[in-house]
Amino acid sequence: MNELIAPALPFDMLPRAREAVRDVKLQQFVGNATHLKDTQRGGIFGRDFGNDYDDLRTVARDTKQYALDHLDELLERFIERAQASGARVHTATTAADACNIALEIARHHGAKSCVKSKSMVTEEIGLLPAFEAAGIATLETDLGEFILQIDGDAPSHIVTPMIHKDRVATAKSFVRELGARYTEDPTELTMIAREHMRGVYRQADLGVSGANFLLADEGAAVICTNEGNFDLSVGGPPVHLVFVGIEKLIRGACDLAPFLKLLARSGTAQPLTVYTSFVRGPRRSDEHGGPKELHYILVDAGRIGVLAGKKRDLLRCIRCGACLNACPVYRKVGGHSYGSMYAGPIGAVLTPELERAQGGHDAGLANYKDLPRASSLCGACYEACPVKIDIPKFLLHDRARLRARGLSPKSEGATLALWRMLSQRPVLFRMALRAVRFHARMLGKADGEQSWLTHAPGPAGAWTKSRDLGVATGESFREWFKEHKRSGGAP
Amino acid sequence: MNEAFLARVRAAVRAQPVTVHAVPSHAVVRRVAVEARGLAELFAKNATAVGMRVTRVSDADLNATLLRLLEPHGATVVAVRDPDLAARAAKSAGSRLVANDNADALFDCIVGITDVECAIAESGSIVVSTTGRIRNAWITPPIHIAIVRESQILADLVDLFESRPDALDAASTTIITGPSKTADIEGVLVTGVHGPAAVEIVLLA
Ligand code: SF4
Repeated sequence: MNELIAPALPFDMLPRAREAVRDVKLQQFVGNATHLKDTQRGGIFGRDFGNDYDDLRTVARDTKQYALDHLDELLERFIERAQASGARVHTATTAADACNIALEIARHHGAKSCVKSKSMVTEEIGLLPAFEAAGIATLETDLGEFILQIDGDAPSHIVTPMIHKDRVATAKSFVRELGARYTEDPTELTMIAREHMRGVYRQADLGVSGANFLLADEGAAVICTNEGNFDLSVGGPPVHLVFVGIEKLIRGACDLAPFLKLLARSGTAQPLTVYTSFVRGPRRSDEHGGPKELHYILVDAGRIGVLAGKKRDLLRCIRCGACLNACPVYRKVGGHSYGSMYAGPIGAVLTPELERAQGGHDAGLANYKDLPRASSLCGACYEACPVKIDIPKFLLHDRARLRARGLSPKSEGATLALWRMLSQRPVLFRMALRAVRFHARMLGKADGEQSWLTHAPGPAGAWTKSRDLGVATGESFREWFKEHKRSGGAP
Repeated sequence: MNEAFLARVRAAVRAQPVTVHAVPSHAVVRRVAVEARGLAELFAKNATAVGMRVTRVSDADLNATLLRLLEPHGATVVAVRDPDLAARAAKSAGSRLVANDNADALFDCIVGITDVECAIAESGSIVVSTTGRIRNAWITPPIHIAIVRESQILADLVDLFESRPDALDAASTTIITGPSKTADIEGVLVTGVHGPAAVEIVLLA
């Protein structure tokens, strides 16, 4: 496993965050890209849903929560109907189980090569290293994942995995690994990758993918991509393996529309991803092309434990990446600072929770002590989330737990160190104000237009020890942002 | 194996109270009403907005249009389910025509011609499936020409799931909303990364 997303535990966030904040290029790429995506997201929802946006999110929230609250029924139905369609369904309790099931299938077919479409759960279970160790050459076919793969790098964003890398790094690795001529032109680089992969698609023994949704009624999987690499990765090879976390289940196609409409708009400001592909069984006798065998590997790896716990809501996540783009801390520290394939606000709560569910009581938090503090609690993630996961609430819950278990450093020193480090950049000002506004709302001390915060929780407490902060609770961030820009402050 | 797994999921579901007992109404999800007039215009506008090219022609002009689109190009695969359209597309392709029963041969084609199961006005999408069409004929060649009849246009994505569930019956169905795209390298948009760089829609009145 790549140490960037599977670090030694307990994980220490600070050195990575410090390095990221000092990396001028990373600040520029990640800062610009996330800011742009966040703005575009607001634009497309405003245009297409206007005042109904919040209602749409509520519908999606409740539809997905319903699925989680009835996951046993849906799972049973899915297994039955997928099998009826000719697919084979396997269940994997641990990451190792999932890899072993795949290795067994690969061995059975004497598979030596594999083409793989982007999938977070395969990152999570370490499928690639397992395949490589077994001598199965595996090619990541999503362009970003491919570039990361040949560079020995790891994804730093759920949707745009190479957000931290630039064209120069790409150009160099293409010369080095593919023997390509040097070019920094994104179109030319993309075409070099295209040609390289087309040769491999034609010969691969296995096609591997994840899935964005599982439909219980239809026993089907839904996969969303923009590049089309999913369809090419699984259309040619004789065997298709779908790795999927059980939380991806929904009732059926009848419940799919809200999620499809939200996913692409939230992630990349598109009405739908370019390709929304439905898998409904292996190749039929009257069909040309497609896998002869289709296997679903349904992965637990902590999800059942999360389902049983107080943070069931986290399983609603559809991995759209909007909370990463909206988060002032993610924008500064980048994805690798979170020590997991799940970065940003959702990662900060999900990583320790999955770890807890797999490792026993509180092992998760003990191993990721910094993650609950890697947030300004400004609430931007919650506002961006298409399924309304109240991430700040869970972060606060984790902080309280750390304190209760005596796992917090005595003086909150580490938090302050992170805070101080971020404060070397103008973003702190923005972040701090939003954070305080959020707390002011939570503490409910509104006093007309202004509320006076005398005991800010968390890191901001250090400031309020010596002074009270005047907080405008009514103003939206965007208004404030514009105002602030006009008055000549740092953007 | 699966039984023990299911039992654990069952216990986990019960460990917390059910908070949502019924799936809420999805009324807010639909943006375009079924009876909306001018679905063809709306579809053409939205398909164009996502980067596909729409040519609106009468049924009688289909062959001439296909000939014009194919003219600069070589090997063409015809993956058309409708027998009448299939014959006309094959005729237009003429000597460019490649047999449509060998998935590997698709990699040597320049153009894939398909018809569609349906189209969606709200998102400007087309829906293709492996029922009667060789798989990936719409994604392997660098150019995809899709023949769409105006009568096949649904108002909203919701209608696909509510009124055309049969469209999802095939082993593989894909909703296509634009040419193949990536912005992985510094956010610069590049089309044609794996799938076609160009999607030409011939919209028949
Ligand atoms: S938590 Fe919400 S916003 Fe973040 S990735 Fe998941 S669904 Fe998207």
